[in-house]
Amino acid sequence: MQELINGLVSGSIYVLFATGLTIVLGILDIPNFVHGETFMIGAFTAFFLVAGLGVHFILATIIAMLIVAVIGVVVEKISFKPLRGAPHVTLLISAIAMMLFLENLASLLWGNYNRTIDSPYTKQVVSFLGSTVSSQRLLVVLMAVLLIIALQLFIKKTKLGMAIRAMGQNPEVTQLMGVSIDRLTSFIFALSAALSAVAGSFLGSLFTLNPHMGLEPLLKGVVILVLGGMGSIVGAIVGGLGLGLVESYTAQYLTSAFKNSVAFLILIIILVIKPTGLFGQGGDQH
Amino acid sequence: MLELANVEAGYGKLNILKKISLKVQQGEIVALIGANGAGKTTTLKAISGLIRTTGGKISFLGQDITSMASDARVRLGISQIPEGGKVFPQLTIMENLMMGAYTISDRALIEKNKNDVFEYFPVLQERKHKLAGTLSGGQRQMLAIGRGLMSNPKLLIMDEPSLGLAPLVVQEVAGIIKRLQGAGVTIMLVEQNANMALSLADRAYVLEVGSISLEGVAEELKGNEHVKKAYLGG
Ligand SMILES: Nc1ncnc2c1ncn2[C@@H]1O[C@H](COP(=O)(O)OP(=O)(O)OP(=O)(O)O)[C@@H](O)[C@H]1O
Ligand SMILES: [Mg+2]
Repeated sequence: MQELINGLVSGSIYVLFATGLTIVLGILDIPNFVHGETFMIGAFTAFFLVAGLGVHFILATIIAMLIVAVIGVVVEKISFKPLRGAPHVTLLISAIAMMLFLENLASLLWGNYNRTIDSPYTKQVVSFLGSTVSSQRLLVVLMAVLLIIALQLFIKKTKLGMAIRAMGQNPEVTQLMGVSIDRLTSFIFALSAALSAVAGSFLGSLFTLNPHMGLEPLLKGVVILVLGGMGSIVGAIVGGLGLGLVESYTAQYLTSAFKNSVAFLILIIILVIKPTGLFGQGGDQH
Repeated sequence: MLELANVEAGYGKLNILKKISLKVQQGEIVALIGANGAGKTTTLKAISGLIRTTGGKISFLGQDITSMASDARVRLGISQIPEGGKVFPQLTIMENLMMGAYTISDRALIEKNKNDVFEYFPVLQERKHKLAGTLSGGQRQMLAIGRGLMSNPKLLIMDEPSLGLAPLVVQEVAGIIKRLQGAGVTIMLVEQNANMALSLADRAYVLEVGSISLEGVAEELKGNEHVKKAYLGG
C-alpha cells in the first residue's frame, strides 16, 4: 500500500511538471528545457516566502506560481522569441544556455545545499486507504488532481482555451482570426511555468530543494513525453503517474539505487518498440 | 478602402512582391488573378499582416496599417479566408465559427452572425457539433467562408475559394459572394480560376511573378487577348 501512495505522490508531481512541458511543446512546438529551472525557482520562491516571511505553505505556493509565471514569460522573450521559426536544435541550444545560466545564478545566490519547505501539514497524519499518510502528501495529490481538472476545463470550455487548441492546429490561421500570437505565446509560457513552480514547491516540501534540482525532473519529463506522446496532456497524466508508480515499486521490490534509472530504461524500450509514444499519433502535429 | 502602394514583401531574404500597387473601393468586388506561384497568397499575407513588408505602404479606411499587428487589422474589419479551406480540424464546426468571432464580445451580435452563416450554409448547422475534420472538401470551404464572416468584416478577402470544388459548389459559392456584396461587404477575390473571378468582379488585377501586369474593369479584361490566352484557357 505504501508503494502505491509513494507512487501517486511522486506521480502527481511528475504530472504537473510534464503537463507544463507538454503544452509548450504541443501548442508552440518549442522544446522548453528551461522548464526544470522554473521548477527550481518555484521551489526557492516558496521556500523563501515560508522561511523568510512566514507565509503559509499554500499561499506561498500560489505566489510562487504567479512570480514564476512572469519569469516564464521573460524566458520566452529572451530565449525563444528571437528564434521564432528556427529549427528545434537551435531552440534547444538556446534553452540549454538559459538553463545553465539560471542554475549557476541560483547556486551563486543561494548556495549549493539542501533545504526543505516547511508546511503545517507535514507533521499531521491521516489514515488513507488503510495506511497512515502525512497530510502534506495527501494535499499534494489532491491539489494536483484539482489543478489538472481545472486546466482541462479551462482548455476545453473557455474562449482562451479554444484559441490555445486552435493555435496548436494552425498558428497562421489562428492569427487570421484576430488572435495575437505574441500574447497567446506569453500566456502559454506563463501557464506552463506556473505548473513547473507548483511541482517545485510540492517537491521541496516533501523532499529537498537545491539549485541543481531541475535537471532530474526535466530528463524524466522528456521520458514522460516520449511515453505519453509529445504534446498530449492525457499522455502526460498517464505517463507521469505511470512513472511515479513504476519507480516506487522498483524501489520497493528491486533496489532503490535503480529507482532513478528505471525512467531511462523505459525511454530506451519505448523508443525501440513505439517511437511515437503510447498516446501519440505520429509525433509532430505541424 | 484598401490601398497598397509599392508594396514589397517576401520570405526571409527571398523577395516575392515587387512594388505592388492596387486599390479596393467600398462596395466593390475586386479580383486578383494570377498563375500558380505568382505571389497572390503572399500579397494577402502582407495585407493581413502575417508577413512584414519590406517596402511600400498599406492603408485601410484611410489609416496606415503597414506595421500594424495582424490582430488589430482583424479588429479594423479585414477578414481573410485562407486558401484550401483551412479549418481547425480538431475543433467542432461551432468552435470554428466561434474562433471566427474571436474579436467580438457582443453575444447578441455573435448569435446574429451565426444565424446568418447557418442561413447561407444550412449543412453547417446540421453538423455543428461534429469535428471540422470530418467535413468534405466543399463543406470545409463553406465553413472557412462562414468563419470568415463571423467577425463582421468590412473587407472580406478570399484566397481561391473555388479551388478543388465541384462546379455546382462553385456556383453556390459565387452566389454567396454576390449576396455578400449586396449586404454591403467589400470583397477581394483571389483566383486562378479567372473565369469565375472575372464574371463576379467589378475590377481586376493580374499578378505575374510578383508584379501587377494588367488592371482594369473585369469585363474588359475578359476580352483582353493575353488574359484569354493565359487565364481563360485560350
Ligand atoms: N513560406 C514560404 N517561404 C518561402 N517561400 C515561399 C513561402 N510561401 C510561398 N513562397 C514562394 O513565394 C512565391 C509566391 O507564392 P504564393 O503562395 O504567394 O503564390 P500564389 O500566387 O498564391 O500561388 P497559388 O496559386 O499556387 O496559391 C512562390 O515562388 C513560393 O514558392
Ligand atoms: Mg496561393
